[in-house]
Amino acid sequence: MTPPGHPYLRLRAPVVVGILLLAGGIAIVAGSRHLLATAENRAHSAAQTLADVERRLANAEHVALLSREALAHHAQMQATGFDRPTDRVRWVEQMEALRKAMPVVQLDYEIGPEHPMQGDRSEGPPTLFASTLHVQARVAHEDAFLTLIRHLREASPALRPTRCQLSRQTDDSGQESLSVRCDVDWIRARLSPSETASPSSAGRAIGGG
Amino acid sequence: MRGTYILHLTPAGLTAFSVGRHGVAAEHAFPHSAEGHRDFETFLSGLDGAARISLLVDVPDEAHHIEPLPFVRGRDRRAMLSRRQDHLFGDTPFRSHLSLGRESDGRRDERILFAALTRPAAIRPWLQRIVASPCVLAEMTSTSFLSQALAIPLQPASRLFLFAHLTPAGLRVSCFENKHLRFSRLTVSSAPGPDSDTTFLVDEIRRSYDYLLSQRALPHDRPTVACILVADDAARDALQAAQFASPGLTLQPVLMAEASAALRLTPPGADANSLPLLIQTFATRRPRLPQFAPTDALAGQRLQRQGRIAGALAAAIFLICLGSAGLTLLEARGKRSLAENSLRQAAVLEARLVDVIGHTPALPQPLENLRTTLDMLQALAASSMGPEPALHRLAAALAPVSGFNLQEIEWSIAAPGAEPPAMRAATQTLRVRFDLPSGTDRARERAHQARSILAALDTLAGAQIQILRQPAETSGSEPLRVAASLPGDTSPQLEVRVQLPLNPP
Repeated sequence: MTPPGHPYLRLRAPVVVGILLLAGGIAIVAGSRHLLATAENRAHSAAQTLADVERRLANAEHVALLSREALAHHAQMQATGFDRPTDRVRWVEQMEALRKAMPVVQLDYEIGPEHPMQGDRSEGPPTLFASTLHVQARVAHEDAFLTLIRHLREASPALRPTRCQLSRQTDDSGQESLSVRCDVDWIRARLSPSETASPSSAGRAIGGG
Repeated sequence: MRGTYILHLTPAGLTAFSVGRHGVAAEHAFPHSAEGHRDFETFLSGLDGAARISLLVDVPDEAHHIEPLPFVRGRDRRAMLSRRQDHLFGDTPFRSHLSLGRESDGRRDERILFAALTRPAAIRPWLQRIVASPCVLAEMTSTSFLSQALAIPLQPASRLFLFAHLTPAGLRVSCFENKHLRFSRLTVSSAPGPDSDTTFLVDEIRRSYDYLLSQRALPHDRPTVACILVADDAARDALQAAQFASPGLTLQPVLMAEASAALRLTPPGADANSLPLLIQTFATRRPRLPQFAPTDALAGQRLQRQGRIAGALAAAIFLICLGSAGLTLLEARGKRSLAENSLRQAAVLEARLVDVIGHTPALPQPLENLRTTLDMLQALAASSMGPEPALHRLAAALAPVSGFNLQEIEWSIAAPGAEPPAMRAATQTLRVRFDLPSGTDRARERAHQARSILAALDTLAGAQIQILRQPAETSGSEPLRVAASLPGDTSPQLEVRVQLPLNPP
C-alpha cells in the first residue's frame, strides 16, 4: 500500500522493474558480445592453425617431391660412379698400360691428395672431393694426344679433365714432338653422413715416370 | 484486489461499480454522510494500489457556457482558456472545456464550451479521500457529457434536439447541437423510477425548452425533438398522450430496451434509470470526455502513466537488447561453427601431413645440401668432355688458313660451382699462340697471316676472343720499332684467348 504523502513512490515498482530490465538487457548484450568475442578469437585461432597446417603440408609435400627428385638424381649419380672412392690402383694400371700401348716419348704423372673441390657451396662439411692427376707427356702429334686423353678418361666416368697445355717442341735432331701437360680430376661425392667426415682416406700423392 | 472502478456521485451519495471481464457490477453505495465517508475510506483502503478510479459526477450544480474565441494553438491557447475559466468559474476547481469546432464565417473563431461543477463542496469530501487513497484517479467527468454517448446514436439525424433521461440523481435534460453538448440540467426528483409521473417529465422538459428558447438556443419556427428514455410501454403511451400539451416540442419516447439494442448494451431491466446504460458506455466505449479533475488530483494517474511509459521503454530496450543479443549469439554460433570446421579440417590436414612426412624418403644429407651437391655434380658431369670438342672446333675454324705455325695451345675449364646457379654454365678457355713469319721483309705476310688467323677464329660460334699478343704491324696501340738487334725473343707472335661455350649455339 503506497503512503498518500509520497505519490512518487507509485513509480517505485516501474522504476525497479525498469532498472532490472535495463540491467538485464545490458547484461545480456554484454554477455552476448563477450561470447561473440570469444568465438571470434577461437575462429581466428582456428583459421591460423588451419593456415599453419596447410602451409606445413604444402611445405612437406614440396619437400617430399624434392626429396624424391633428389633421390632419383642420387641414384643416377651412384650409377655413374661419382660416389666411388678414387681408385688409385686402377689409375696407375691405366697409366702404365698407356705407356706400353702408345708411342709415348715421356710420360710422367702424379696423383695428388684428395681435396675438397673448389666451389662446393653445400653447407656443413664438404661433400665434393677431387683427386687431381697431373700428367706430363711428350707425344708425336695431336692425334696421339687425343688418344692419350681418351685413354686417361677410361679409368672412371667420374673423371673430368680441367686443363691441358700442348706445346710444339723440336729436339736437337730437328724432330718435332708435342709436349703435353694435363690435369684430370677424379671427382667423388661423399653423401653418407659417415663419409662426410674429414677425408682421412685421402692419403698422399703418388706419382710415376 | 486490482481493477477499474467507476464511482457514480450524486447529491445523495456515491455508488461504486467494479468493471470486470463480465461487465459492470455495483459493489457498494455510500451515503453523503460522515459514516458514508468513513465507509468509503475503508472501501478505498481495501483496493489495490494500482486500481484505477473514474469519477462520474451527476449533480445538478453544473454550469455551461459557449463562447467563441480566437483560434490559437499551443501555450497561448492554454493560457487563454485558463483565463476564461478563471473568469467564468473562478470559485470551483472542477471545470473543463470542449471545442465545438470553428465557426464557418467571420474570422472563424473557435467555439468553446466551458463547463464547471459549481458546488465543489458536494465533490470534495469524496475526491479528497480518493486522492489520499492508494488508488489512482484516472478521470473525473460529468454525466451530462457522458449522456452524449447515449443521445447521439439515438438521434443521428437531428442537428438540434433535447435528450431526457432519469438517473438516480434525478431527471437530466440535455441539449445537443451538431452532436455536441450545449446545455444540460439535472432536476432532482424525490422519487425517480418507473413510477415517475409523466407530468413531471413533461414539465421539466418544457422548462428546459423554455429556457433554451429564451436564450435563442432553440428555434421558434419549428418544433424541437425531445428524445426521452422510458422504462415501459405505459410510460411511452403516457408521453405520447402528453404530446398535445407541449407545443413546440416533439416528444419521442424511446424504450430503454430499444435504446439498449440500438446501443448494443445489456438491457437494464424494467427500470427507467438510465445509469446502467451510462455506466456500461463509460466502461466499454470510453468516449473522449472533458476532464473536470484538478491537476493535482491526477498526479497519481500521471505518475502511473509515467511509470508505465518508463516500464514500456525499459521493456522495449530490453527487447531490443534481447534481439541484439540474439543476433550476436547467432553470429557467435556461426563463428563457433567456423572455428570447429577449421579445426576439423586442420585435424584432417594434420593427419595427411603426418602421412606425407612418414612417406617422405630419408636422405643421406639435408635436402638443400644434397640438391646443391647433385646440381654441382650434374654440372661437373656436363663439363667433363675434356679438350677434344674444343680442339676440333678450333681445327675446323682454322682449316681455311694455311701456312701458319701453331706453337702452343692451353685448354682449361672452370669449376662450375664457383658461379651462382644461374651462371653455372661452365665455359672453356683456349689460349692459342702462333709463331708468325719474322723479318722486316715479311711484314706484309706476317700481318696478313695474323689477320687471316683472327678472321678464322672469329667464325667460332659463341666465342669471345681476346688478343693477348700480336705483331706491331697489326696493332695501332703499340710502337713499331725496327733495330739491328733486339733483346730476347724477337720472333713475332700472335697469342689469343678464346672463350668457348660448352654447348655451341
